[in-house]
Amino acid sequence: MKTKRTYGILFSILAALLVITGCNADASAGLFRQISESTKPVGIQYRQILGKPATDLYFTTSEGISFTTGTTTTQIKTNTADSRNLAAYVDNANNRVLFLINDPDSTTNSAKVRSVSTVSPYTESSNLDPSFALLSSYKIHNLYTNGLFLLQGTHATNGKTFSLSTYATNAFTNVVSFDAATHGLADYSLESVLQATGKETIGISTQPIIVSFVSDAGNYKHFYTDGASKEVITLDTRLANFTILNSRLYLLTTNGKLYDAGSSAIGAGRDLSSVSSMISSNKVYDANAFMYGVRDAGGSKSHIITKSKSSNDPLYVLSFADSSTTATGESIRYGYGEYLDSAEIVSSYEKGLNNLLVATAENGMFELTIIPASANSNSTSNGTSRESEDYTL
Amino acid sequence: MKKFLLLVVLMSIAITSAFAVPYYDKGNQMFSFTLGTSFPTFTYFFEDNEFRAGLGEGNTGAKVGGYGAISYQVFNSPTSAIGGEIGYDFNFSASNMLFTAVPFYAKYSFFPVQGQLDLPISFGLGGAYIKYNDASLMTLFANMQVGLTWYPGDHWGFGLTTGLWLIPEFNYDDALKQDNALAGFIPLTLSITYRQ
Repeated sequence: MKTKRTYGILFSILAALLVITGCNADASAGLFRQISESTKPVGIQYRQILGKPATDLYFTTSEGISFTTGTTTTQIKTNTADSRNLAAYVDNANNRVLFLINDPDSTTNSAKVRSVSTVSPYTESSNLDPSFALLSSYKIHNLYTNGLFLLQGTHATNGKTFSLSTYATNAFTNVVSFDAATHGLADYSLESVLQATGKETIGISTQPIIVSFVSDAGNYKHFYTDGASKEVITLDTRLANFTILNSRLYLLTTNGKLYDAGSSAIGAGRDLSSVSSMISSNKVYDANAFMYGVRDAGGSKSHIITKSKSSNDPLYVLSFADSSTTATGESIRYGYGEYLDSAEIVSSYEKGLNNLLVATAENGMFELTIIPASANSNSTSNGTSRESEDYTL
Repeated sequence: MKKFLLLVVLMSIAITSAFAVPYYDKGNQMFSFTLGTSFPTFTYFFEDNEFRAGLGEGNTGAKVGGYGAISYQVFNSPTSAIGGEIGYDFNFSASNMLFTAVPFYAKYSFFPVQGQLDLPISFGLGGAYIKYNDASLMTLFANMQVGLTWYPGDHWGFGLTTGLWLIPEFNYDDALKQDNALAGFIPLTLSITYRQ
């Protein structure tokens, strides 16, 4: 009788275990799949691809700023405790790389601008101190690979102002700005500056960007701009990135929703607050997520290749036919996605149509070639990926 | 030759067990502390029918790890004991991220050889909480272990144990079902046991 009771208790415990097992709902991929596909770090920790203004490819790593001819790599700046590169831009016309470092005075909450020559002996400047006529008491928040500095300061009449500006001859020149008076940003702070994947080094006039702000109450405002003009995108959610495909603008939110935002032409504003998403995946993205669009003109289809915030999540393709209001999703572990299912993508550079360099935090740089007609096929027919560091220029 | 040696060992255990005077009585108890390593041995993905064996990148993806546990058993007959164990296992992946498992399970042990030298053969069944990166789940855990424990005195013993752990992963989310798998680990542990 006692034995039966013991067995009864044991079976009850096991039955309870069976009920509560398998709650892996938040995972980007299976647990043992993630482990089995993990790869050794290659020793190079990329931060940004700065572009290929002429024949050499410039990039930054945790060690500093370098360029490669394809066969030989030269480090033109070495990070030090007092001069650690935060963000950089290749100013090819002036044979230099502009970059930001932390201000030694941490109370300023600003960065300092320096430059390093791209010509031997690669001399690093002291801190530059550019003037800025538009704003008083401005702070330097960021520098983008398209050459725009993000500045915040106070405008004489418009109040708190965020400016994207270029740098020349020790002065900033405003390209586009967003302020409290004109854009209602009194209670807002900058959320992100989104640049289309692979096209980050292209100038804003050719390649528009989206600037997002978030209020103290957690509301979002997005501005789609090419510098000369800008329009508000009304969608009260955090954006991960955007892409322009077939002359249409597609937005991806950080909670995995894809929106068709209409024509890519910048107009008077668009309201997406009552628009249904094309797909709501279970993926979670960071701002400036990898989001590369390819167009299968022959098949009248578009594919948007994404990478979620989990480094152990494979590439995920969102596909839809022309004029369709819904999209499908597919994980890609083979072909062009072979080496990226356990890597954190930090930057990318479009070498040519459907041909990308993709830099990762721990796993080196890869070259992807995507075949649009089969971009959403989880097989080797979708394209190719060269192995880590085996890229070509 | 290996089969012959295995046969000799099994025969020796059977003969020793058949003629030995039982050391334990019903009601005797054991309390053990265990510390050692665990070797990721294989991962089998059901949907792909893909079997990955061995350590590191391109195989199971995991490296040799560590394991610690405490266990308690009480004899329900002179040759067998029931009880439970709770432990903590960790292994780093090839990308140096941490996998952890907390197995907790009911344990049945058979003691064909006992006395100054114990040879427990154990079977365990229970659950494990496993975690890696953004994935975590409660799952089943099963094991089979063989040990050898030497008691220089009446109460304290020192043991060496190995065996096989099986940890399945069943995902009910459609997107993750293709990753359903069974993982196997081989532990190699040292233990200190107190018996009374």
